[in-house]
Amino acid sequence: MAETDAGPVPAAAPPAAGGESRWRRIAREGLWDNNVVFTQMLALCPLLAVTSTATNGLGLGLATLFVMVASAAVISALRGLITDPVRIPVLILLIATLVTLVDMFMEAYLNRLYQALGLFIPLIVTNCAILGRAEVFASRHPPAEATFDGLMMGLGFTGALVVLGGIRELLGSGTLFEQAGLMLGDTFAFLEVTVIPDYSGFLLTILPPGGFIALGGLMAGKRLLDRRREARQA
Amino acid sequence: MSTPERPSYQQRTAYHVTLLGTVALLCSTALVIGDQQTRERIETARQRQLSEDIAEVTPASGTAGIAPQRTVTIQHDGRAHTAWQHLAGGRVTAVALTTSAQGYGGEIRVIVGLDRQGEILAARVLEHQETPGLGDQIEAERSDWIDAFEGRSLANTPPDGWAVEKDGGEFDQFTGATITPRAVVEAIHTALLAFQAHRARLLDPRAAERHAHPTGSEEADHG
Repeated sequence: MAETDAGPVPAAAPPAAGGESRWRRIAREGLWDNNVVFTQMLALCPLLAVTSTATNGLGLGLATLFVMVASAAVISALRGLITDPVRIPVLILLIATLVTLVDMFMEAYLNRLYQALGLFIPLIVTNCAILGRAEVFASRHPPAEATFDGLMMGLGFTGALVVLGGIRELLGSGTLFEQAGLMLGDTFAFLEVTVIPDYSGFLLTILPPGGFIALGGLMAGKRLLDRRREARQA
Repeated sequence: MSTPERPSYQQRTAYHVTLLGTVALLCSTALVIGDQQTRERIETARQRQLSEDIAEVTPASGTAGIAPQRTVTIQHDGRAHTAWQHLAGGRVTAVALTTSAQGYGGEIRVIVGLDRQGEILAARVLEHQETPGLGDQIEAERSDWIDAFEGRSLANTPPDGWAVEKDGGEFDQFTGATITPRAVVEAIHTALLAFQAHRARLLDPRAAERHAHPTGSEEADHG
């Protein structure tokens, strides 16, 4: 097992068999195979709460993505210094500080989105995916890989939020990315689409039960795709 | 994956303690810096929001005529209420009054718009910590529960009518969250009583004072 840097920490795991680069493996894991929502089934509470529109899902996804990347980078850089007895408090301190900074930033610069997401911004701290991934990956891998992993996991999570948000918004209000210009800034305004004009709305999809059903459908769909892919490779 | 031995200095208690303390110090510093950098913009955003909230409960057309810095502060029953006057032709035609009550998760702040007779034009919840999905039905964006207060006054609703139906009053509560609507009803009732007690001052256009940073909060600034 090659040492990737000096210091009393375990080196990165070797590349998967078949010559796949570890970067590709990290990307594949974060975006699909080990997706925070569809495979790990973590962070379902904020997922269901904010995905009534695609815009809110995108907003929370980007905030979480930032925290995932930044926390992975910092925790990985400090992994040689963090010792077991104080591991959890230190990790939580770092993650909570990052989330608070994001919260302040959003209140100052993205105020409407901040109001729409409300409590769920500070609740990013409780997102198991962040602390869990820090424990499993960031504290055992060098910064470049850990940061990339944070990015991929974050993108996978954001993808889940946007897809679920999009489905629920489309079925529930007939629009996609409603108020994107207002919430995220004018650069995002191009996303706004009214797919079904004068839609009376299917309320169930916007309420939590509808969210669960849609999520279940997406998970089943992913399993189906995975199974087909395996069958083709067999 | 085996964990290699840590160097000996990292196995001492003093190290763990120092590490935690240092990280805490660095995190605090980062937060202080972050706070300083964003404070002004957050204040501006809150002012804008305050103007919009006032506009929503008074007959103002848009936020143009609103001066959030010109407030009347009244003390009633041990609490302070901040009020903004809506002027038309030199007369006060409406008053927006802040009020609050303890909800389930913390203080709920409400702004109530009243006409000269003390009849409610509209009420809006400014800030709350109630349970998302349950207590947050008090928000105008989530349900029209708050519209039930329109047109109400101390004149047309008796004292024991100012409670949720469960408590023998006239206001609907929503399932699973009695404490929240109860608090909002109490807050609005308090506002009406405060208005009644200080009506003369509230309707006097000369009573308003200029404040640099009005927040509409009950711990009003002094200056």
